[in-house]
Amino acid sequence: MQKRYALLCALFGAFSAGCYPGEIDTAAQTDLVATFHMEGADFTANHTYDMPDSVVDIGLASGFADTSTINHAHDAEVLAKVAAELAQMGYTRVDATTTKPDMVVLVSAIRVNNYDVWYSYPWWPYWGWWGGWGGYWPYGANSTYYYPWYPVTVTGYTTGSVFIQMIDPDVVPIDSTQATPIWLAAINGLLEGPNIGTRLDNNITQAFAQSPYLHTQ
Amino acid sequence: MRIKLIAALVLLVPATAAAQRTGDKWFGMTWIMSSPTANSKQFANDYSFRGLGMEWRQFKGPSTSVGLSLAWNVMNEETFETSSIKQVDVTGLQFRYINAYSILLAGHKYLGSNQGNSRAFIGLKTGTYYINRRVDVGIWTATENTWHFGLAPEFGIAVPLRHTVDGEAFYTAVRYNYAFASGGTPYQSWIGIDVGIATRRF
Repeated sequence: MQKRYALLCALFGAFSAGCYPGEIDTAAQTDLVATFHMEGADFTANHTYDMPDSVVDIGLASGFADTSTINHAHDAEVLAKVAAELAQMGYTRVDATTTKPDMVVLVSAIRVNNYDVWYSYPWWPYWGWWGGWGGYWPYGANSTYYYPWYPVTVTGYTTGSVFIQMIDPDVVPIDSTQATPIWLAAINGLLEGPNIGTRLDNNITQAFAQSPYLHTQ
Repeated sequence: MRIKLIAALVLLVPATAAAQRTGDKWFGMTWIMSSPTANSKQFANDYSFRGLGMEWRQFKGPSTSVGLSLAWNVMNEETFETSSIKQVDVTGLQFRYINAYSILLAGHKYLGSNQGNSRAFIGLKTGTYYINRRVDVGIWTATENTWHFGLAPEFGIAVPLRHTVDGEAFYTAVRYNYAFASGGTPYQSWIGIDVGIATRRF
C-alpha cells in the first residue's frame, strides 16, 4: 500500500512540473512588434521622405553607455529593408540636402543587458554579522540560524530593440524641443541565436503589414 | 508521450471497489482532461490533457454519499496574433495559461443496486476555485490570481473490476465547472472529463 501511495505522489510530482506547457524555447518566440500612429494623422498627405543612412545607438547617444551597445553589422540590412517597405507603400525617397522631403524616417536601436537573481541562498554566513537585524528581524549577531537553501542563481539575458520613427515636420509637436512621430514601430526581442538578421527582416515586414494606413493614396 | 505514460500509470494503479454501503469510504484518483468554454475558451482555447483529481466520498446510505474533491486543471493556448488598442497594435507570440485549482464539497446519488454491478451516479460539487491566468508575450509575463466561488454538476459511472461489491473500480465522470466572476475576472468555465480508479477503504 505504501508503494501505491508513493507512486501516486510521484505522479502528482510529475504533473506539477507541467503548469506551463509549451513555454518559450527559441529567442525568435520572444519577438514583439508594436506600432503606434498618431490619431488623425493623414498619411496620404506625404509622398516623399528621407532617411539618415545609419542606425543611431540610443544607449550611446543618450549617455546610458560609454561605448556602443549595438552591433552595427545589420545596419545596412535594416535600412534597406525599411526603404523597400516604404517604396512598396508608394513613398519616394529624396535627398534632403537638395529636396525638402514630406517626412523624415529615423531608425535607432538599443541593446540592454538584464539580470535576474533567483531564489534564496545561505545568506547567514555572509550577512549574519550585520547589526541591522537587531530589533527588527528575528535574527541577531549571535543567532545560529542558517538556511541551507539553494545557492543564489543569476541569469542574464540580452534584449534588443529597433525603433523606426516617421516624423512629419508639418505636425506641430507638443514640446517644441522634441519631434513628434506620426508613426513609430518598436521591435523587441531576445538578442540570442544566429538568425538575428532573418528575425529583423521578418519583424520589419510585420511592422508595416500591421500598419495598412501607411500609403500615399 | 509523457502524458500517455502518466495516464497509463494512473490507470494501472491497483485499487478497490466502488463504495456502495453505508459507512464505506471511497478514495478516487483521476486523470482529468478539460475543454474550456466561454470566457476560458476565449483566453485558452486548446483541449487539455493536463489535470489531476483526488476525491474522498463517505457513504450515507446505499445510494448517497458526501465528500471532498480536489482538482487541478491546466488549460493553455499558443497563439500568434495582433492585439489592437486605440492607436497601438502589438504583434507577437502569446503563451496563455489557466491553472485552476479547486477545493469542492460534493454530494452524489447512485443509480442501480450495490451488488457489484456498474453504477451510474450524478453529483453536485461546490466550493472554491483558485485560478491563475498568465500570459507570456515577448519577454514579459502578466499574471492574475483570483479566488472564485463555484459550482460543478457532474455525472459518471463506476465499473467494478472484480464484479464484487469490494472489487476495484474504474470510474469516469463528466463535470461542468463554473467559477463565478470575482475580483474583476469574468466567470470561468470548462468541461472536465475524469478517468480514474476508485479505492474503497475500511
